[in-house]
Amino acid sequence: MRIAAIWIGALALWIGALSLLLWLWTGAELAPALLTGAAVALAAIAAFVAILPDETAGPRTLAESSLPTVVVVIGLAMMVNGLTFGLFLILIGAEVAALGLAGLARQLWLERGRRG
Amino acid sequence: MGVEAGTAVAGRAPAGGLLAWIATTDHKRIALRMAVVAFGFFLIGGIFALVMRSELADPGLQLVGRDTYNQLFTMHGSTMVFLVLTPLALALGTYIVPLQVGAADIAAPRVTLAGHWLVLAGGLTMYSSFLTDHGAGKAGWTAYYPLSGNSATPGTGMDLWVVGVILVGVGLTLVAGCLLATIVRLRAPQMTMLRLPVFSWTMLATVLMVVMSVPVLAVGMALLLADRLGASVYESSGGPIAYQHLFWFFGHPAVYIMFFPFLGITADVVATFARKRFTGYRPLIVALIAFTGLSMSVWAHHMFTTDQVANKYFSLTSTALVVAAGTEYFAIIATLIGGSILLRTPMLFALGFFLQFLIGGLSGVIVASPPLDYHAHDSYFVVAHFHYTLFAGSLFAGFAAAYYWFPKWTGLMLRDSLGKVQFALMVVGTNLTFFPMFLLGYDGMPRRVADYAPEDGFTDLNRLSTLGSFLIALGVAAFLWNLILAYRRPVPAGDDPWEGHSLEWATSSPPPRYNFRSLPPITSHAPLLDRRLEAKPPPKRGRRRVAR
Repeated sequence: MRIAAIWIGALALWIGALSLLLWLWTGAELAPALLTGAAVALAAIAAFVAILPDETAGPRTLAESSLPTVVVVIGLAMMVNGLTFGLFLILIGAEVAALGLAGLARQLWLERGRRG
Repeated sequence: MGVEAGTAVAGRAPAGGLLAWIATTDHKRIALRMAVVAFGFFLIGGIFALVMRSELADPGLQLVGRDTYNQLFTMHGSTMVFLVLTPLALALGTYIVPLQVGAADIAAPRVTLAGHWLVLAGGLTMYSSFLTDHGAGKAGWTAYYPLSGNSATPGTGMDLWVVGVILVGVGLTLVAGCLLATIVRLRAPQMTMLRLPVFSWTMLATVLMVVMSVPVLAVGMALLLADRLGASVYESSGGPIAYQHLFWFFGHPAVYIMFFPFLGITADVVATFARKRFTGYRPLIVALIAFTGLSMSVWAHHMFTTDQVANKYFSLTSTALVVAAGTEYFAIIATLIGGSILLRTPMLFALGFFLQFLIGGLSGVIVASPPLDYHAHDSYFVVAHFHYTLFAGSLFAGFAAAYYWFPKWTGLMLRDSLGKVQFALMVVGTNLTFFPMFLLGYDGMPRRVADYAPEDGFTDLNRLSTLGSFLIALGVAAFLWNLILAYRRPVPAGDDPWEGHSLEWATSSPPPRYNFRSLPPITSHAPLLDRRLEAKPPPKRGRRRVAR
């Protein structure tokens, strides 16, 4: 198990204890629920870190630049802006994001090929 | 004996041109773009501040109307929190943490790149709101409901502000996730958790807070957008309080997101320029963990006056922060004691952070007490308090980082003498700007107002404050001039101009694509200091033992 998981788990326990204190202190629900949610999220991260496999060493095949990533982000930003400006922008953004995702898939496939 | 730096293929020539500018996967280049974008937004947000201060120098409306003033203070606050300090903290982490932990790269560089672009897209979306009929967002950076609702603040501008914050929130979370994965998964084999440099520890605490709190902000803003588009999410009687909980559950940890990295920078800089190992490393780590937990559980002290929260609980947790913060402060003081202190520009800015943040922190103890907060709430006292923490504190440490790591980023030195001029201008300007605000707030001047009456007696202190803000602007101009000089008349820095303690100084300046050709042995949180001490004979009796 990774030692980092213990540190993150300790923090999750500490926030969990603080949230328990808040549950006892207040009759309201939203505030202690938020804090408990943070503790649970952190505990989940700690658990994930604990079971994460070690990174396997190998040749570095990462592309020097990744334009498709930027295209995906532009598409997503257009989609979210479309919530204000209308459906047309959501659809255009979705197309741009799909184009970017296709490029990203191709880039990842090429990198996998280079790794053999 | 050193260890090979993983599978790094050092020295591969980085791609050039426009494509590399916008789409690089090198964590160092992404980080520099993030920092440059944050600095650009800082300049714009600073201009907004100067316009506001000019308006407030005299009673009456001279420069801008009330509506424009509302847009300016909203965009100033939003810019500095969402687009400057938080991204700057993560940019510094994105550049330095992989180097400090001995990693060849950041985890998931494409995700980091996406995060950077989302932050930029969010910023541009927020700023595009100026082009709309009703102008930019004008409900304050907190966008309290119902003020931020469609009936109180109609128009597309406010919608765009909300959309921008959502995009920024998602982007920051992605960048933080990559940093977290780097620290837990990509550390060099000998780099145990208790050998992480202080800055990397503070970044770990920071990114954990980001992944816990920023998604809550994104959800709160998404609900606000739905509300503005007609879904009536916050319409119920408890709606405004629910909004405040969601906002401040991000908003207060955000203060520590904008503090911890800069505390880490200060710790690293102080140890380097005291030429001594950082003292109290383990107590500081324990205090940091305690601090992180507490800082997640203090948010409702912003809501004391609503009478809808457990004031005693939030007052207790807020006041308890001083124990953790005090431990960290004492560790830095202990590092200074017995050191051979070198007062170069990074050290001056670090000490500026250390002392000025203390004023912000101690005034925070006042507003952590409900009876005192009832008096100070929504007054200029609070404005002074958080500007002492975020500007006089964190931004000073940001400049310390710039002077300290600029040689690593570029291979060039910034001028020390000009840096000291900048420091002097900024210390005087900062205290002249923000200290009078304590007095104004205590005397009852409310925040977020474009005007005041001549008989209020606020004029003299406001004029002082305005004068100070222009001194700060001169200080920033000195920094810009220093940057220009560094490129026009370059002074090569060498790989380790400060005799640093952590691994980023063990590689070339700027570092190669995959950071290291080989790593030195990592025997503590200060491996380069260990190596230097090992190479030198023990000091003679009676002489002060220093690291160089």
